[in-house]
Parts: sequence; structure tokens; C-alpha cells
Amino acid sequence: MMADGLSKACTCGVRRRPVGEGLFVGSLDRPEELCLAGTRCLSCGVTSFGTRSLCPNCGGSDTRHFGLARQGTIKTFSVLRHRPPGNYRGQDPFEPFAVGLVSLPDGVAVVSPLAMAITDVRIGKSVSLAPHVLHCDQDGTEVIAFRFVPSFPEEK
Amino acid sequence: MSSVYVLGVGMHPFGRFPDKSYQDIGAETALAALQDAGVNWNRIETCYLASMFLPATSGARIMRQLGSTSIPICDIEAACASGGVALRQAMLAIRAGEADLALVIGVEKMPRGFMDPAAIYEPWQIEMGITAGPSYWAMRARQHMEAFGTTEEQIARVAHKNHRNSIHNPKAMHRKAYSMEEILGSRLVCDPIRLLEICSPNEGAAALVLGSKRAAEQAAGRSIAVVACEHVIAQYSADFRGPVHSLSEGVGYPTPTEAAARRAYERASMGPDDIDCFEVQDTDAFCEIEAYEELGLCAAGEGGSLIERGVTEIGGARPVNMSGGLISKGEPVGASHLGQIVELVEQLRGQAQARQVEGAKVGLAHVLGAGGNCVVTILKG
Repeated sequence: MMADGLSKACTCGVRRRPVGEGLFVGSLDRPEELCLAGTRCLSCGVTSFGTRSLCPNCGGSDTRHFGLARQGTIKTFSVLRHRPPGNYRGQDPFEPFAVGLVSLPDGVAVVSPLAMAITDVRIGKSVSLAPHVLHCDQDGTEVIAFRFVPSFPEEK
Repeated sequence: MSSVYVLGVGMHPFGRFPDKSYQDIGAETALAALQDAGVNWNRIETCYLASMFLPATSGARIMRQLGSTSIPICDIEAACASGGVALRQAMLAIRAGEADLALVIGVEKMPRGFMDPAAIYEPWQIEMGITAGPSYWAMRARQHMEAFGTTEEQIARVAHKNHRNSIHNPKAMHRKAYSMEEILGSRLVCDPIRLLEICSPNEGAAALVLGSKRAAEQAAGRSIAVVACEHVIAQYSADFRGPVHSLSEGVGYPTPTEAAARRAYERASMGPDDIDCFEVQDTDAFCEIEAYEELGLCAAGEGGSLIERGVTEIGGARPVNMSGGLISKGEPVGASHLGQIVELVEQLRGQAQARQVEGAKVGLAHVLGAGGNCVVTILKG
């Protein structure tokens, strides 16, 4: 079941929407169980992030949508020491945070904020998807975004 | 295939000019190039403006100051590669026999700070904060350090070289040498990239008068041949920089630099060993190390060693960024590649003074930016 861009009233009464169209698979009623959306092309075999009707590699239309694995490893990372530009809706006042390219076993790596101590970030570290409320719209709708957290918090 | 020639060049300093309009900056630079070529504006048959930030029809608005001659004036935008794409279009017009004389000009006036992400990123990326250009450069640097043992010191050495080279470049914005301690002590922007290792957005212009073989033969001064000018946009998952949000693994296409360089070398019937001097993309110091490898100056992973051993100094075996690069010049996007061409022309004419590479006959310019837009141009004196 796809989580589309529209604000939905969940079973608990809270309205929620994903931060972007086609980024997630699953129910907004249980955001902790959401997966990132993947598209697999049956023509060229490439897996891409997002819900696409055409394969971004070969342009083929024989595509299948599914949920990407929720655990991956950090392929590379950086730390943003300055507030990102434009309509940034993260922590205010700004706190430096790590961003990483997270490699998922499905054959795709995703750029994502890393919610962990900056000094703990390592290439090869296992991280798990942790959808969260990034901000709320004026009408109170919770906007669900993604980030990754350490899979094994006690590991340094 | 017929060559196209650079008959003249002009360049406005790169920097901040709050009291000068883009029209004045552009017109002045165009006139300088025309004068250098000994060609009158009314002999130019087609004109291309390269810019990312100027408003619509700016080319015509700038050139109106020289006279409205009814020739086609086309504005071209391709992020950091705008100047190269404009050069290529002019070259195609001359090769097609549509014009003997063309003017190519890059003009830019940019706002300060991080580039406005709304131009190239989706709203969700902006809200989540994954839109800082330098964070992508930094992630590529980190990956290279992990894979090949490239060090922060080697990255800083590139910045050290380029800042030092700029002392001899009157057109550079920052003409100041910094010590390795100052560079490695400058504040982190996006780990591991530091403030003195990245370029500033700013203002400036550079222009070329381009001519056919016939026009070059009639020209007074010494013409420089454009033996290749190749434009490539990165294939899927072949380039990791903004606004990419993910990469599919195992796809295996060449990077845009590798692809553009291969085509340019083939077009020119040359290899990296035939090039005497290089001007390459150094929006951040690591980008130059990556360019060494992808342009074929050394094997993959050896870029750090190249800078460490002084190979890419002006007096070294493979001089790179004699002008001081974008790190010291700044990057007025539309003018960037054309500014590199101006440097190469001066080198090939033997007019680069303290920046001169002895006996330079062949030069290569490389520009690479958002969306994996890449141009590689080879000039022969």
C-alpha cells in the first residue's frame, strides 16, 4: 500500500502526510513500520529509490514497486556544520548533524540524515530506518520524513 | 572535422562589484575580447551568453551596449558547465558554415552563500536538509579517503597550491597564499572539507572571439585552435553530487569527467601525456584530486600522491590550475569555463608571465557541476 502525498486522518485521529510523494511504502498509521519505496525494473534489473513508473536507468516501463530493506550500512558520510540552505525544517536553532549515503541490500544507496552522535558515525556502521515527524503543517498535520539511526545503539 | 579558432580573449576580474551592473561587466569584457582579436562587433555573426543566474534575454541586453545588429544571441544555461556548452554551440555554428565569427561570453552575478536549493532540489530534500552542495563533495572525499587512503593533508595541499598560484593572477578574487596550518585550521564546512578548501560564488565575466579557419587566417594575432569541446551529462548513477538523492549500485557507467575526457582525447587524437597544462574543476580541493584521476593524469587512487609529489605545480610534469583555480578565483558560474580557456590561451601564447608553463603548446580545460554536467575542451597553440 502506497503512502501518497495527501494528508490522511489516521485511526488515532492525527492527520499525517509524507514529506514527499512516493517516498514511502506502508501505512501512515504506523510510521515506525514504513519502508522507503523502491522500484525494480524488469528490463534492466536495476533497483532505484522512489515510486517510478519508468526506470531511471533504461526508461523501461516494466517496473515493480516494493518496500526497500529497513537496515543498511553507511557507505560514506559528512557533517553539516552550517544550516542547510532554503526552507530547512529540521532542528531550530540549528545543530550540526551527520548526513550519509546509506547502502541498502536491495542494490540502492540513499542520501539521508543520520540521527546519531557525530563522533559515532563510521563507514560500514549498521543503521536502521527511523521515520519521524519532521515538522507540522499549519493545520497540525504531521509531516513524516526519514532518517537512519544506529542499528545497535550500544556499539561505538 | 574542421577546427575552430580562438582569435581573441577578454576577462573581467572575478570578485564582488556591487556598483557595477551585469550589462556593464559583460559589455566591457566583450569589447576586450573583440579588441584582442582585432575584430569589430559588427563582424560578429552569432553570439552565445553563458549564465545560470542572470535574467531572461540577458545576452541581448548586454550586447545592446555594443549595438543591436540583429544577429542571433542565445542564452545558455547548464549549471557550472554553462560556458563550455555555449562554446560548443558556437563551435557547431561555425563548423556548420553558419558563421565565420562568433562571440562567446559568460557573465555572472551570484548571491552569496550556499546556492538556492529550490533551483535544483525537490521541496522534501530541502525540508530534510540534504541539499548543501559541499556535503556531496565532502561525502565523495570521505569515500576516496576510505578506499585509497587519501589524507586531509593531501586535500589541503591542493588548496595550498591554488591559493599560492593566485598571487600571480590579477583576475583572481582572493590573491592570498595560506599556510598548510591555516588551511587545515580553517573551519569545517562539511567534514572533511574546510572553508579555505572551497570556492566562493561571486561575479565576473570572460569572453572569446571564435572564428573559422578562414577567419583565423585573416586575423592579425596568433590564433589558438579548439581541437575538442565535448559536453556530457552524467549517465544514471554515474555521478554523486546534488541534486541526486540516491544511487543504484552496480550500474557501472563512466563518470561524466571520464566520458567527456575520453571523447575529447579521441576527437583531438591525443592522450593525457600530450597535454602541457590543465585547468580543472576545483569547487573544492578534493574535486581536483578526483579530476587528476578521471582525466587520466594518474591511476585511480593516486591523485593524493600526485599533489603531494608536486607533479601538478606550475613547474611540475603536469601543471594544474596555474590560474589559482576556482578556489582562489571564485566561481561566477557562467564565466567559469571561459575563464579557464582565457588562462589556457595566455599560456599557449606565452603570455602567462609568472604563471607560465614553459613551452606550453596544448591545454585542457575541465568543468563539472550540478546534475553531472561536464565539458572538456582541448586547445592547441
